[in-house]
Amino acid sequence: MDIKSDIESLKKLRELKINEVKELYQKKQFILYELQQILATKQSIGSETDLKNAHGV
Amino acid sequence: MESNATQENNSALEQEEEVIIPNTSELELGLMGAPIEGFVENENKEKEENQEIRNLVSDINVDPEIILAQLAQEFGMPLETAIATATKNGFYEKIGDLQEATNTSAKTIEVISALTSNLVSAGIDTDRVKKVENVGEQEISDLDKSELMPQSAEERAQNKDIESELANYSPEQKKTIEFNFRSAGYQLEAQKNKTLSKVYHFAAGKFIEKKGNESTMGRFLDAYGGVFDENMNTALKNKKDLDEGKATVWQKLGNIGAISGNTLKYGRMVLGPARWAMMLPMLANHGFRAGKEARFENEELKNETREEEMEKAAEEAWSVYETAMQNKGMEVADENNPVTTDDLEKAYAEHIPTNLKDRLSKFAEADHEGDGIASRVIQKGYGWWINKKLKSLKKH
Repeated sequence: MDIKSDIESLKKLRELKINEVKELYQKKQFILYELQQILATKQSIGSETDLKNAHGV
Repeated sequence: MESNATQENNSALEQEEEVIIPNTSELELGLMGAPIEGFVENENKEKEENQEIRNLVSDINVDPEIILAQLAQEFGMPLETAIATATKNGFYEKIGDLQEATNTSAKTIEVISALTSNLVSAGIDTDRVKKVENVGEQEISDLDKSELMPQSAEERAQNKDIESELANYSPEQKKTIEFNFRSAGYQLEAQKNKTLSKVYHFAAGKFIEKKGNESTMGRFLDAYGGVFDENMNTALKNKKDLDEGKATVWQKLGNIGAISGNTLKYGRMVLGPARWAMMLPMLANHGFRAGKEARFENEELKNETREEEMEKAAEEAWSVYETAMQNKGMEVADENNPVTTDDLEKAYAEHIPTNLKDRLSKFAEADHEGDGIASRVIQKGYGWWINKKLKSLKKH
């Protein structure tokens, strides 16, 4: 039945859109990872400065 | 949410069950059409996928401030420092873009799911249609062509279409048509609209049930169903006039047109490969109006980014349409089956975004001979229709 192939086509479209959302989710994870790295660097610089200040360097 | 007029018309439909294809009780139960093999098995898988997507969408939509608060706590730094660092590195913009793209895709998935469900519910049992077409023995009289006095070029074109369609029938088929479809064309038209109206109102109810009256999708589908209510009322009025002998020549012809429109053109559209190419732009255009009506009820959005969102919705609908065409390798478009109701025309004129208007204009004017098959099919099927719409748009 043609109706069945129509449903299959819609499913393909749905899959495409679902994959898009999954990719966007991955992208978000990557953005968070990037931010974590930046914050970690910031924190490490901050700690080093604190340490230097504590030792009067 | 059916009006009194709609309820009366529903009763009228139910009283004439014997000529309805298929019968009303099946429509009431949403069982029109044969079950689609494999669909039920896939339903659970789809539900799981939907849940997974909902979780992802909900995760992506978490407020950036909450993320930053968590990270600040994790790194043991003041929230202000985390916010300042994030702002400096464009975190808000990146997340904002991501959320926007996600919500557009999620909305499209919702629409596709609703349409798939509609396709299953509103599928036509072709065997039964054929059976009804072949019943009947009464002689028919040929249409008196001298009565056909087209008033406009459009009417003349319509007349020509109907005549050529009638010419394809064998004498035996013509006999059957007159006997069985004395007024069944309008009946079928009304029934089709009733079914689609029910499907959309039902789907709307599901969204509203889950999310309350603030559900945009619920209000959208409800308004969308209303379009079919109006079509049904018009078809029933025409049928009534025909039954009472008050029909004009054009109403008589319209009935024949509705037969071919529904059992041939619409049937082909529903069951044939062109269906989604036809249905998606229809959804987009109906959606402009339905979307407007739905959104006007939401006070919060009234003065916000409605226009911008409508534009995105239009682009998205167009993009889904193009993808559907490409996926199907479309070769045939039915230019006799345009989306030309007055409602659509108004909706189109009122809500079409300027950039899309320009795009359509360029598309209609271009020579698509060397383009891909999808482009050529769209141009062939819709070029004249787009030009017609553009003319009406220029008046606005």
